[in-house]
Amino acid sequence: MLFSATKERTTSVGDRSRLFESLIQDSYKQAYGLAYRLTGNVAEAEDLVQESFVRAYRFFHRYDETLPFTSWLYRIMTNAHIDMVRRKGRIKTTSLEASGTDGATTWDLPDQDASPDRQMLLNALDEPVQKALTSMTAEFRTAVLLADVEGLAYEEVAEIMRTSVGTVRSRIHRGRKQIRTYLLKHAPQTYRSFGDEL
Amino acid sequence: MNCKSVQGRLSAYLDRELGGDELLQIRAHISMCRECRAEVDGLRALKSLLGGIQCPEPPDDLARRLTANVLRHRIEEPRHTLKFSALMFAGVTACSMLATLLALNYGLVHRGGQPNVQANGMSSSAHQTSDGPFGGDGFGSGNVLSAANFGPR
Repeated sequence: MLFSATKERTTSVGDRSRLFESLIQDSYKQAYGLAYRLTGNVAEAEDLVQESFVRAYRFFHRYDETLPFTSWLYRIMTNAHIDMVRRKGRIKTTSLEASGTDGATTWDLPDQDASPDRQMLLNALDEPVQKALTSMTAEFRTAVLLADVEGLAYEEVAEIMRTSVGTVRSRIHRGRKQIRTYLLKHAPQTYRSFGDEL
Repeated sequence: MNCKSVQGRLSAYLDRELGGDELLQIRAHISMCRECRAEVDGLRALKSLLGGIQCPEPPDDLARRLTANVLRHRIEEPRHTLKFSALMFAGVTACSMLATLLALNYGLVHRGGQPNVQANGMSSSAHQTSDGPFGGDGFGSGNVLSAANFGPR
């Protein structure tokens, strides 16, 4: 009886490891994308992705398999990111400051189905947008990224951030306005040209 | 609805997160107000910008490194599942009931035994009246009483 129980548990752990390995394969790119936007640099993005997957693996028994794994992972990542920000006191922007000018960091952006002008403007605005995101509070940044980059509905964002839909609505609106104010101040011509292109 | 009230809801309007009267009122206001229309256009451009930005591709070996680093961690086992809690509750309840029964029996033994000691040889009918509700109910209390009554002899 005891033997069969132990065997069953061992098998279950082995199955979980294999299942988790496939979940990493399926979701790491998406997770890395959000982590990069949250942290603003490659090194911290990797740290955040790893920390999120480690937490997810350790507490995998809490995962409700009826929901998408990425939603659960994003919730973990959101908390891990806020923990990181609190631990550090502030988010480093040094790698962003260094990028582009000294060649230390390159922006490896994939092609996109868009007009060359629009794509060129998007590329030009990418760095200011990231700086604007980095200058915001973790809560505003997370809400805006989940809604605008990940394309989630407010209810899903609220579920991930464990807050009300009203709070999400407010964070997204105020967050967008902060980004716009930043862009109008730091990249006014490019931002206005992008608006005209639409 | 004034401009300030409308402009506070324009992000939700753009995200199709409004419904009913609220949506109709804002739509009606925007159609008449140039300032709010410009605000909607500005937010729409920003939303499009944020949706279009790309991020660097992850390093080629990231998935391999993640898998290796993550899977060496220990899995936390659930401490109290619902099934476990239910079994615990049933066990504790059963133990409590048993303890209560034993305590009642013990109390009856002493209550029933004392007069016996003092009377030193009262008739057996006195024992039967002191059995109380457990006197002949099959819980075995009668045997315990009988055994206890032999004690003082």
